[in-house]
Amino acid sequence: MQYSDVDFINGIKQHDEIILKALYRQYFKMIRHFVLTNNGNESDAKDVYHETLMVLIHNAQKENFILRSSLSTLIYAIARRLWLKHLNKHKNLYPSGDLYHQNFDPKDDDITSYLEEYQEKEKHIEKMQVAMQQLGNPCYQLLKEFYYNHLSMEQIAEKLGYNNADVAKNQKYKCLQRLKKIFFETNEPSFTKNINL
Amino acid sequence: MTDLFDKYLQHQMNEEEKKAFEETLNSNDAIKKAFDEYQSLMNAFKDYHQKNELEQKMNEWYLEEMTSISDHHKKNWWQVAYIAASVALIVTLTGLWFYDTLKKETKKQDKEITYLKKELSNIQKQQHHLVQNIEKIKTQQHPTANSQSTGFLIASNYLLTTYHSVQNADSVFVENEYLQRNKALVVYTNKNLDLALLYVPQLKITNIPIHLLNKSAELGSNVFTLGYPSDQLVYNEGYISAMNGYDNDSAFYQITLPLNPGNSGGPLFDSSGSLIGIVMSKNTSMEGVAFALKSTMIYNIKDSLPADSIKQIWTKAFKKFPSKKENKSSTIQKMKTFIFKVYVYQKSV
Repeated sequence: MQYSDVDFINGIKQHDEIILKALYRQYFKMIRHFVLTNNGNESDAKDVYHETLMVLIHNAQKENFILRSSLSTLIYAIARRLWLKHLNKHKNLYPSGDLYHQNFDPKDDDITSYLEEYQEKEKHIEKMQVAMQQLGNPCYQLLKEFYYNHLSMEQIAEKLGYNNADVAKNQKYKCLQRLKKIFFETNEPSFTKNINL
Repeated sequence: MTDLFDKYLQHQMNEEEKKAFEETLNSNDAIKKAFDEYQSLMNAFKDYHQKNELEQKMNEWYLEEMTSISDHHKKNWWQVAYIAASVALIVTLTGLWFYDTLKKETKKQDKEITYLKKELSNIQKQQHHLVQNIEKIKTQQHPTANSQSTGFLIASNYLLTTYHSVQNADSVFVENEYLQRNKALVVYTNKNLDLALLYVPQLKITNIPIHLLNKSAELGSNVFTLGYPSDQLVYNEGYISAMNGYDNDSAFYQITLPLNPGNSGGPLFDSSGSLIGIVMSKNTSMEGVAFALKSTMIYNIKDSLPADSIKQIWTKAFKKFPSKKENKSSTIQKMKTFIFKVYVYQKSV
């Protein structure tokens, strides 16, 4: 099935998995080819493409998002900017990068703001990840069911094997208190992220 | 208080409650602050969860895409080197020609010829050097591991390999042609069976096509393995030549299959593509004779596993019946992204 740009954007907004997968397939080869022909390897290509989609999805989910160009152009522009950033950061690893010599349009404010907003969010996500590592999986499952899947305490107790809703609720409260404490106390993420960018 | 926040954020208040709550927020700075904090916490949690889910899905999609791309573009470093070298050659030859014409004509011709030869051998040297440099750049990114073997995914995040390959390891990394290098943790070992289970947090992948068969294979059945004795994935095929291993050990099959160091830990598949064993060792005195741990033995350790979560993996990874027969090359295409090089680093002794 062919989707239009509008279908894709709506799919992103509604987090429609089928459309997201179609989107992934649609532009994978383009970005992979771009990275591979610009000194990147397979895993660079994967990282760039995945981060590109993360940036796109984050921004497209906002209410005020407007698609000013074709989706393909936008995705290419984001990927290109991410890859350029990466090349510039690791000049020593990519000695003959042709890309440095190509100019990109610095006036492309849309892309800049997309990346900035995503990075801002990324900071919170990393903090949350640190917190979650300390909290452990049971807390994660509990909070996920409550805040993301909006299950009731009864349903959660049943799904996760707590004796009753009160036990689950009590546990959720404890998790939340600990999460708050860790989340607002950690200023710097204490781990290094395993990504090439 | 958080109950109230939840109720408000999840739109479970009626109009009156909502109004009252909003008034409290506006009039009480402390509550307002607590509420803002709470809201940002919840947003961060949702974003985190969404990203997790998305990453996991994208990893799955990635593998699907990669398995469908049959022509795998590998960078041809030699070609790059030759182009660079031929440019150098042309430049030098042109230079030589100028030099040549400027030279006094009284010089004997045969001298010039030897000179040119020397230059050429210099160029050859340079070219060789260039190639070496490029080779270096290619491999420089990671220090050389102390040993290399093979491992494969049996469930999301979990790889099986041999105990002897990760024994005394300071750190273990896994990598293949499709997925970047990731650190692995050894979460379970079994010395008797020479088995190790690795955990790789980054390899969140579902729909793994590798299924272990909880059923003995038959004498004489055709088998094949995929492994990393060198830098690339290598295919080898053979057959089960005896039902017991070295010294009549019933935990192992004797297989007749050409193998090399690095193959150990590799999955042994039957012709239907079901996993019937793990390549372990080879016999040094008999050519082509090797041994593989039986998948049924691997199943039997289920009860000694350290955690319930790992026991569950066992239940899921094993099948009682062989999978539907598929053409071998499509099986290999399907499997190859799930097989990894296992690099082991040890402190220098």
